[in-house]
Amino acid sequence: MNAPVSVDDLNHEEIRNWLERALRGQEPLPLLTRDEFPHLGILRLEKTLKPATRDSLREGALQLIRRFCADGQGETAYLEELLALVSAFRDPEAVQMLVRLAEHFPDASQISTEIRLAVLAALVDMSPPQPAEFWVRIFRQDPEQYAGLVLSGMLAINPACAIEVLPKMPDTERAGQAAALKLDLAWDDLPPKQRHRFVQDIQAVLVRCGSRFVGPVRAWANSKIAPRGPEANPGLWAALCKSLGPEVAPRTHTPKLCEAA
Amino acid sequence: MPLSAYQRALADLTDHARQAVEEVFTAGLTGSTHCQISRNIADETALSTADFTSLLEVFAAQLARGDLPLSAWQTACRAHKRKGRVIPAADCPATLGRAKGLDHHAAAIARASHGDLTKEQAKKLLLKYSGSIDPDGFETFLREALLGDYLVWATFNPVDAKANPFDRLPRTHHGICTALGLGPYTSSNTLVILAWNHADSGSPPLHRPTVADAEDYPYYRPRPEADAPWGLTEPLSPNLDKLEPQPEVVMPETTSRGLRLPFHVIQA
Repeated sequence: MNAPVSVDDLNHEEIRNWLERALRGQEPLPLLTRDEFPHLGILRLEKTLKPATRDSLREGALQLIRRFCADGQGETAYLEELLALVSAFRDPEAVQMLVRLAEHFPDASQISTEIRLAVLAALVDMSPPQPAEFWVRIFRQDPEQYAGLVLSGMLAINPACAIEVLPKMPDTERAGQAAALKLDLAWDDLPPKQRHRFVQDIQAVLVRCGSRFVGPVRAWANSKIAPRGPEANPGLWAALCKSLGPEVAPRTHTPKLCEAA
Repeated sequence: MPLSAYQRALADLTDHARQAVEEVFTAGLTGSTHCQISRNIADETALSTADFTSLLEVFAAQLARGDLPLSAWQTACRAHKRKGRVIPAADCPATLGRAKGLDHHAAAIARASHGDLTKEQAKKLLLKYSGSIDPDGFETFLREALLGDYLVWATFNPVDAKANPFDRLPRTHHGICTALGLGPYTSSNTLVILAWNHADSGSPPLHRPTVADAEDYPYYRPRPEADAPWGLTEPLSPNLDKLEPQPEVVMPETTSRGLRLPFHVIQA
């Protein structure tokens, strides 16, 4: 079977056409596994290309995004791949185009819910994070559909603002599970001295949250604020008592421990 | 000398179609990836004559329409998926497994979540819960993700069909890629290794892979035994640890509802 043309040998317009076909899985790509998503093969290939070809590839991706933002057309699988690719390229111009598109979702009925969610997810993952005001406007468009991504977007820019979204989340256990996971990731990224206050603030709003949503979030919050006394590890506590005698107590100086030191 | 499966299929084509097919498969550059694909086609034993003929007929028809060879081959392959023999239900392994790129599986989790998790969030969660038998609420989203897309390539332990197939392989990036024949461009790609219970996944049919399932993936190798129930990987060179070829099967796209915990992230 004859070998394919190298992308490095294509001109600027041919590269864009090649990219469009590659995003649809119609071009050979260096895939890790046979079923890997095309955008991952394109990203792998991109690293091997000449600088000028790489520039043309990124420009081609930008043109494809521009076209999508203008007409909202394209099959779901292709658009998901395109959005994933530009998300990885982190092009500021692409971010701005997608932001404008998202702000005008109500005027773009031809764009499916699935693709709207993919656009918003790309904006959550892309840098720089969008301002809280943007996410507030998105939330107003469709609170039910967009709440999860709005929470994600807010957590990326302003965790304190994000906490205020919690009472407005859909009242489902699944939404609560997703929120707990996102709060946990946000907690991981906070400076240690801010974590306790973060969890306390979340606990303070839980009383305003739906009953099905609140369960997983409360369980998470409680796990972060659980007391660190003997009841946290009863096995260890029992072993210490046996070894050191009944006078041992948490957070107190014990002569026997000092002698051991 | 008896005709190969490919030669028998060629013989059933019209003269025009046979000429078009032979021109493509006998031309080409030595050492190219696509020479390997041509060799795989010539060596394939897993397709019935009827299916092989049909595959080549569609290929020839696409060439006649003006498609480039690789595009024509892809179209023909996509119309002939899962044509290899099916493993009888009683002989199906209880546990199967596969390796995926971390970014791939994170994207799969995100897409299955319908906006509940983004790809970067899923990636962080995969790294966080690697090795955990209790991934909390993440388990909901893990089990909704597809094990693979369009077609899942899987392996298993032929000696102990209930065991996790990765338990007998080196738990290293290099070892897993070598044993499973996962291409040379994987050195910077973090892997996720997944194992699942076949029955809990809905017992999808398990097929011996064929060149049509592999399409243009150059690391597939057809197995010479026509009556073998499953395929075998070709461990990557140099294979200094002398890892054995691993069984391989293909199955339809399936969710991870039968996933066995823990899964593992394997860094390069």
